[in-house]
Amino acid sequence: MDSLDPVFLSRLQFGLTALYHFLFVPLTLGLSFILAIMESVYVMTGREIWRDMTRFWGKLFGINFAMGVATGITMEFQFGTNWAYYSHYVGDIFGVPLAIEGLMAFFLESTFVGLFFFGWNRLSRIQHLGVTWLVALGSNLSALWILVANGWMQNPVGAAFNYQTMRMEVTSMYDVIFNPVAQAKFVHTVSAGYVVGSVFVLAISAYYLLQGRHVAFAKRSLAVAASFGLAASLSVVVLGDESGYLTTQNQKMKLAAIEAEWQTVPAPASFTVFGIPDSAAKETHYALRVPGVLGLIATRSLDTSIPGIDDLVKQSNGRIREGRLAYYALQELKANPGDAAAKAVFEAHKDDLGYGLLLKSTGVDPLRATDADISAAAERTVPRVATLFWSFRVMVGLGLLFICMFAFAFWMSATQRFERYRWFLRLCFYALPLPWISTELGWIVAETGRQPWVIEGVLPTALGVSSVSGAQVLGSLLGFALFYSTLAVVDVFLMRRYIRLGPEEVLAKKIVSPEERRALRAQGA
Amino acid sequence: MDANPASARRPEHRLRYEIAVVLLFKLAAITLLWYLFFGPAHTVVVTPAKVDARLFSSIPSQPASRPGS
Repeated sequence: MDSLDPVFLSRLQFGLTALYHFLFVPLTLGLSFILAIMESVYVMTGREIWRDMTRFWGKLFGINFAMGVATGITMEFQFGTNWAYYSHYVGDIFGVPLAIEGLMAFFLESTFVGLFFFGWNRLSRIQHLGVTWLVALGSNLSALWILVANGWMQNPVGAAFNYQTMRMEVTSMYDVIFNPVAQAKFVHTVSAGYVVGSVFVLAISAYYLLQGRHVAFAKRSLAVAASFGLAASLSVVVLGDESGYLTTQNQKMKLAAIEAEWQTVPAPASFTVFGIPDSAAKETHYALRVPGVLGLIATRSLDTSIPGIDDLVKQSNGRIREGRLAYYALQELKANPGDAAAKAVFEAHKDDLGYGLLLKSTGVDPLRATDADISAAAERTVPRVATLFWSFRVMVGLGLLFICMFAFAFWMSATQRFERYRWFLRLCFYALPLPWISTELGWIVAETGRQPWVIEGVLPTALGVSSVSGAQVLGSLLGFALFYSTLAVVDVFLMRRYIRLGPEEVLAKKIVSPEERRALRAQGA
Repeated sequence: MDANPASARRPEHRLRYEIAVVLLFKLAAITLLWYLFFGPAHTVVVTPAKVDARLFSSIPSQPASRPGS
């Protein structure tokens, strides 16, 4: 691959900025709800320690929010330069949820974040609690609109191609918003964010307990993180299963690649726990399989087979041929818009127009493509199997680890056996980076698995990229790398410093637990 | 004793100050990146004609027949 290939560099730039932005997003999603839970307990019990907990974790939330805010806007910059053809072709649909996110959800979230920090002495308890809940809802609403946009890229419903404007146009906004793929992705993604927030609170609380500092504060924080995290990590599995089931319906190639299922096997398909996928030999070496499990998960039946990569390539081959008919009809319609026969052909084959464009994306004129060209284009519909196979397994493995971790933490917290299981507190602390790894891998599975499409079945990635020079994209890529690396260093520095200071230093007050308060009262009496 | 007046402040105030500095730095950096690489001078204007030429044009000098015919 040419190292200055603008398609590769544009993908790399967008992927890196998206992955970087998503370091901050899940912590915002998760911590905002944890703050709302802590403050709700404060309002219900009137115990000052819960207010202190909300305020301290709120400071860390604030650092994360400040570091993360606007790191996503750079992706929108790229739409106008690197992805101008993509923006024109699908901007009519893709732009709507992005605009709603910016105008409604982000402003809701940002306004109430300000009130959260500066409203402690200006609002009543109930009013401030309302603000905290609105911060949580606002951040989650932001995620909803972004995932509606992304869900449409995975399953483009509610839109049709208009050959007069040369773009996709909305036919049903309802279908775009209530796209089942988008809805499943939304709940799966926000639940993963809750897990990130919970592991964050769990790890730092464990750190304080190991040091014997802020013990009452840390025990309560750990209890909230364990219970919220347990519910969230179980939800991630259930909602991820739904997301996987929908992938079986809409993105069969992605599923086959995740499972390295090279050939269609009799139902129910087995799940490959471990193996080394070999794309050249089209087989998985040293495969360790659990019979029937994939069939059950992916089709929720025992008698439905899951197509393998080979069969899906054959299907793509057929669709490319159909797509050429749509492409041909389009040429006729451009020459004579009143050509009823051409219009009928186009209507009959328009769902495969994107497959015809696959030829174009390889530099082949679809009307002059040979069988070899078509076969080569069909082979290109297979994404990177090893990347998907391993990213998915590590993500799932970490998800299962979080369930075990939260379950044990919940039991330990309920039985107050913190001192006996110091090894577990250490494990919790060292687990701090793991939820970020799993969420980033989730995005790698989602986006790499859709290749070679930027919009599944509609627009090949290579055709969405602008005619920009590789050097120009490389320049902005290096600029982003420098900018984001600096921000990452500052973020880690600030987080580490304020975590080390601890709640009493940061809030500049002695944190007194209800037990200590009772003991002090008894001494006074 | 720390002679730096900024670090002698309460951590909460210092945090506000540091976040304000970071936000200003971010604003400046993003504006600079936008100006250098993404501003109006770099925006690629795409029209239906350009999309047609890029995605749906076949070479006119060679005869093309309906696929499969």
